[in-house]
Amino acid sequence: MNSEFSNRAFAPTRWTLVLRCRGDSEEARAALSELCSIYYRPVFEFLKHDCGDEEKARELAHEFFARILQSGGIDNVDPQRGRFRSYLLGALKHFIIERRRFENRKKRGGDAIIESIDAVLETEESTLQCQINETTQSFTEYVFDYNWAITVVARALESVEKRYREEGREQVFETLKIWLTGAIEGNSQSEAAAKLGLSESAIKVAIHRLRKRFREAVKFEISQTIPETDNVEEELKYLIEVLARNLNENRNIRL
Amino acid sequence: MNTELNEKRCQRCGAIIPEDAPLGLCPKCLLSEVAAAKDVSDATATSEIPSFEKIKLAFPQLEIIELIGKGGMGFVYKARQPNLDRFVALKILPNKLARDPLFAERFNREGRVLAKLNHPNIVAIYDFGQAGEFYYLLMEYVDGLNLRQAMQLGKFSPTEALRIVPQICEALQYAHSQGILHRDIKPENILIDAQGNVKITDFGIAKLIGEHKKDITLTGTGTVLGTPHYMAPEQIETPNKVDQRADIYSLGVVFYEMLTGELPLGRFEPPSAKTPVSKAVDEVVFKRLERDKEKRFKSAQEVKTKVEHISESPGGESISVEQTVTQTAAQPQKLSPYALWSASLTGFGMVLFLILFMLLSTAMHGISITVTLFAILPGLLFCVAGMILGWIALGKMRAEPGRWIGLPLAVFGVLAFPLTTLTVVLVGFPYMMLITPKPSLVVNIVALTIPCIVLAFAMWAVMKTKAWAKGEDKIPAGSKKFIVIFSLMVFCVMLLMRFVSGEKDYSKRYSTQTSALSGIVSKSPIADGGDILQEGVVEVVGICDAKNPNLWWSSDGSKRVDIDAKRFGDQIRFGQSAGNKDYLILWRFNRDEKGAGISFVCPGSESFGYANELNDSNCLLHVSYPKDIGKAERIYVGVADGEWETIAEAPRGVSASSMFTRDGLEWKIAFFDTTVDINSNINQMVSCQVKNANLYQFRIVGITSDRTELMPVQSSMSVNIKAVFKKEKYGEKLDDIKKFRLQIRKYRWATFDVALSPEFIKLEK
Repeated sequence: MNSEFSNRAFAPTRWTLVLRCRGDSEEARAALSELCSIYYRPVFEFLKHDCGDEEKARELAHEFFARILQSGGIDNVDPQRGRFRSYLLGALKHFIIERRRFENRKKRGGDAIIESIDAVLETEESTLQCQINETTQSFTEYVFDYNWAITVVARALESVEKRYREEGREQVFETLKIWLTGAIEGNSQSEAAAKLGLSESAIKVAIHRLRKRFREAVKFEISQTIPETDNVEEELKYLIEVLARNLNENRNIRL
Repeated sequence: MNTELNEKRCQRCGAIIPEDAPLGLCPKCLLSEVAAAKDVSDATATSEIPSFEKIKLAFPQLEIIELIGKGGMGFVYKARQPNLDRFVALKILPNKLARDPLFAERFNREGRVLAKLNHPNIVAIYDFGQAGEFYYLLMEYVDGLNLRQAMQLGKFSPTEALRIVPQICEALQYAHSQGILHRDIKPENILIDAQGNVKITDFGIAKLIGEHKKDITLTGTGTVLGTPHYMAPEQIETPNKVDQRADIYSLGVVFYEMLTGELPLGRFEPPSAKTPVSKAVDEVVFKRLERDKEKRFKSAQEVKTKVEHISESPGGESISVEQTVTQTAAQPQKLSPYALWSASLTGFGMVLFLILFMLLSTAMHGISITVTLFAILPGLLFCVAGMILGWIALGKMRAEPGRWIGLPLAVFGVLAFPLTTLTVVLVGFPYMMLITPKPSLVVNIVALTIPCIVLAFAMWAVMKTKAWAKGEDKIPAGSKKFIVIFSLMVFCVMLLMRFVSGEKDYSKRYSTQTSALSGIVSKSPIADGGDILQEGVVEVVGICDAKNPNLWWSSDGSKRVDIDAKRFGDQIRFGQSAGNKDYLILWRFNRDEKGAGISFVCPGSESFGYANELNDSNCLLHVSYPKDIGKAERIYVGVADGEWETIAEAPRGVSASSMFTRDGLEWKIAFFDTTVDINSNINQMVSCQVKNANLYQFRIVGITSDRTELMPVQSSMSVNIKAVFKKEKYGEKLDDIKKFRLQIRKYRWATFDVALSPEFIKLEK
């Protein structure tokens, strides 16, 4: 879509909505809540990797989201720069540190002090910064980003699949989805054509259309998490880089 | 974590697909594709693109949805006509055109023509005109992609390409028939909708906007115009003189690209070298890409027929075609040994047939059917073997198209023998039966039609067999037309020849058993200059059917019981010739001279012969007529008597020849060497060539030193007269022969019209 007019087609994205209203309106709250539920997975995986316990990770994730939604405060995020992904990761890291501090305090018998997560993010010179290195991405952060990217892909695929299902053409989606990863030698379009009872040229059109829908879906998903002024392509590029560092291979090296 | 066994790797990038990958698809590749895809609208905006607002203002009746394409020919927007509730494509022509003062006029003129194009494979133009500052065309919206995009999605299978091309051809043929050239056929202008239908867009827009060269200078802003790769050579050189063949050239480039994924640049390879298609495709592609337009296909229709021909070949399902052709592409063409052997054996067998037939025909009489059959057996065996091998060769050619060469040999091997046999049976035998001295019109037509039908069948059989071996089910319509026209032409020529030549002189076709020189003529000897015999010299005693030589009839219609034809012995052939009507006629000669010459001329007869009975001056004539003989036949009876005239003489033992004119005729006389045979008889041969020799009786006499004339026993063969002077008759006198003379005397003729019906005999003098 040409930037000149493409965005007209859409209502303000969720994150834009959240940022614009600084979380004050009901609409913004709903949008934030929605976003959180969408990106539950990267948070959960991050926590799981951090504490190594699935049950606990679930508990923590629950707590994390509860606090975010409760505070609703996104005031400290610069709408020009902040992306929901960065915001969430920052909040998460802060939450973890807070959590550790709380655990330690508890061990020492101290009382829990609940602080605003945003407050931490606001203060750049926070002592916590020492513990979390922003420049060199830790593997845990990578897990977060990786799961984020997977979530985006899965969401986009789901929405496309849903659209095909609504049109009663699940089979088309099922048959043609392998072409979403590009033209691959060995995948016979003529076989697919025979299976769907279409001509080969019609298959080409169908594949083209499927890709276009997927493209739009991915861009839509991404656009929901970035400020209006940000470039979708940039975020997309970042997510591809994340996925290119194959998680499994990374894991194999590290674990 | 993952064991290697469970690993699933992405086919595209080779990375392990993570377990949690959605739908099991490589997420990286999914997103990479999204990033790589070039949306039209993602193209860098140039100042050329009119602002969205402006467009909206200029077209208030439309809901402009998005920019879907841009190029040298302008910008295309997807729009909606709310009142008609349909999507349309709005093409805005490059705004610089408006500066061309001639453009408005040309646009109006051409636009009207283009709007008339109405074809399922052509994007329809709904409206055109000027709105605000924009020249626009409102077109049918095709929900699909163009051929360029389709090719990027993966190479076209040959089958698919062969399916698309005819649709393009149809559209082009239609437009060409309306006098409209596309002038810019390229993949970008060939759209494919969701059903796989082909629709050509931008028909004639190239001309509308202006010639290509001019166009480049007009818009020279870096936007890529119709790329010259798709343009026919003459389109670049003389853009004003292009015709439909330019479009056909462009389509050839597109076809080549569809098949190979490459442009046919420089010395390009044939498609079959790059992709599994048959050589037939190469031919079609090459013939379209001919630099010389004269050598190209003349019309899109021709291309379509050709392409459909290829795709209609049996096993048209893509898989089998591709498989068979893949094999072909891998292996070089070879001469089929079966075809070679087939042709050789059949050829040899037929030559053998011919030789044996000629040998037999020279000695046809007296050879039994068993011997004949035995004689033709070897030839038959060779021919049958050739046929079987030929069919094997054809089968192999059909199974592996393009692999084997030698199709004409195989076709010859298979068809030469059966077709020849068929011709002999269907044409030869009936023809012999039908050829009669007076064939009726029906007989004529049948006699001419049968060979033409056989000829047509033979040509059809050859073409059909060829087509079969090539894996095609039908022979081209053009060939069928050719067969029909050619056969009809042969028929007409034959009919014409028959009328020109008039009635045939059939009698000359058959050898006769009569004494030579009298010969057989069709014309009356009297007309040739013969004299008329006085009445009473010749009379008919009786006539009978040769089948029944005991039942004689006299000229007044009464039965004759006193005639015994048997006394003429074996000099006369009795009985009936096959398919003929044979008669015996007994003549009486009332004349003084015993050695008078007798001659018969029976026009219309196939053969006749006679025997003299000198003592009684009777002569028995056997004459054989074709079955459909008329009511009465004319017979001329010649009698030569009186003085002999010497026309040439030569000394004994000397070869001599002479030429002179006599009675207004050219005579060529030659005396051969005199020879003495084992019985000490003297043989002298004289050849005498003269027109109307049958008007004369000839004799050779030997002259001794005392001027005595010795008479030989004489026989004739063609123009040669052989005289044998018997030793037993003349004894020592023979040695005294000094010279030989050739003497002649003229026959005088009596004319008889004979009604050869035993039931009603009427003989007239």
